[in-house]
Amino acid sequence: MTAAIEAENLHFAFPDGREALRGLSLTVQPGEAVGIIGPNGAGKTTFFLSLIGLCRLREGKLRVAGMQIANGSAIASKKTLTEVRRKVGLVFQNSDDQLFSASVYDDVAFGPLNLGLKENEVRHRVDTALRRVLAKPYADRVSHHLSAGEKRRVALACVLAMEPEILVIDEPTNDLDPRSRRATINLINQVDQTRLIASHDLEFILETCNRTVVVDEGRVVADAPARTLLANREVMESHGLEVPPSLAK
Amino acid sequence: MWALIDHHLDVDSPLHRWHPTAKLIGLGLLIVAGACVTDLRLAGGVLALSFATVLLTKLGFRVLLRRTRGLLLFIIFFTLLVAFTAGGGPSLAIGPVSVSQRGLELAALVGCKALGIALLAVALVTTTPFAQLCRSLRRIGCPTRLVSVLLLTYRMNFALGGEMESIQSGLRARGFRFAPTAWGIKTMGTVTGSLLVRSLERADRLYHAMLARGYDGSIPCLPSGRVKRTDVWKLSAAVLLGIALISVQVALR
Repeated sequence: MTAAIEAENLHFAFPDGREALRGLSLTVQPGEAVGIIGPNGAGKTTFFLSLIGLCRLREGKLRVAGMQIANGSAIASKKTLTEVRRKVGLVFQNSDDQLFSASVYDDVAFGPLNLGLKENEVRHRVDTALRRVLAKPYADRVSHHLSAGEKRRVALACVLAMEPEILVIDEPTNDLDPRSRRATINLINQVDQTRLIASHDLEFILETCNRTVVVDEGRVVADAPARTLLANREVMESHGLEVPPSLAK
Repeated sequence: MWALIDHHLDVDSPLHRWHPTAKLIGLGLLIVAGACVTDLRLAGGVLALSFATVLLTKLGFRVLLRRTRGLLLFIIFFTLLVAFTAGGGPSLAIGPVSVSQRGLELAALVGCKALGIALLAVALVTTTPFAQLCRSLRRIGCPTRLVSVLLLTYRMNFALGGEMESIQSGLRARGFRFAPTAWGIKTMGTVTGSLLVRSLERADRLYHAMLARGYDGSIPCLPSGRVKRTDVWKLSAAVLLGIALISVQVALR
């Protein structure tokens, strides 16, 4: 079976020379739910951006959804990148960066319209996605009038409406109240796509992921079943993390 | 103008109920006809027509006056400028300045036309959701890039406004009050620079988010609802009025 994501020895540096990825290697099988945890600046977001070719890698091999995204410093063609972006749905860390249309409905419809779907199908997908994230009541509102939590849910709907093969979510519980957080947990547990979730909310990771990976200083430093890894105090604390309260007893 | 957009959509009026595309064409044509008028009596007619259109929005002149203060001040300033600089022999002296008959007539013409056109534009944007207005622009053949720029400008205006507010709150929380001193000016310079850098970074992130969802240079839109018979009647009335204005203007020449 072809892996959903195959990353081998990825290296990336910002223009100021600061290295964000220093040999990151990770393989994710289709249908897996993988939690990516690590301290601030560990390289989680950079890794996510590189999955859809938004970071030009310096070195390493990256295959996503069976497509070669990077090989050494060579990056895939525009056509391949367009195709991979159809298959990988990335929810950004800051929802304000993701919402740009004049209404919530238009924002959620943007992705499906770019997929070239017919109007009926677009409307069906938008309605379904908004209902799933409990955002249907404010479909006609303008994005900048939403609360931070509402924006977060709409950002998730934007990606769900594209029905991607791989769902990549950066800090899904940022700004969410307990009810919305619970709804997000239920939603993520219902989807059968491959999921990659970066979060500092370790209880969330525990409830949604069967495998957890610790990323620190641009590389994977631990990889194990979620419950085993999150309960490992030594590993967690040596990388600036804590054992979640439910496993700390 | 931003203060007018998407703020008065909960009102039920004939203008609010009018199909966005038909409304854009109808009011757009009246605006063009108003701009073509060169006769003062007709310009008065354009102004009267605009007031009637604004009445149809059911928003109330007080609300509109409050929201369009800046625009009105600009029109008044511009009209006065025309009155005093149009040339011709002086007919009325006010202290050291004098105004000619020609200047007054020209100022009245420019003032009536500018106010009339501005009110029609205000009636259009206050009664139509911005998203639908953009869709309608696309539907009538406005270049995709131009509409995309309009959409993004609208969104970023609020995003950067929020950014500016948070910077100001941060300054106030640490006791900063602007005063025209070297320290005050230096701080405001730093804030402006920071806002510029943040806006560039945000634009970059926004672009990435758009690419991630298949952006290829255009922002596709879903079509708006169906055009009803009443929409066609309203459009026909606007078209007839526009044609009448232009015809009378041509006849008067």
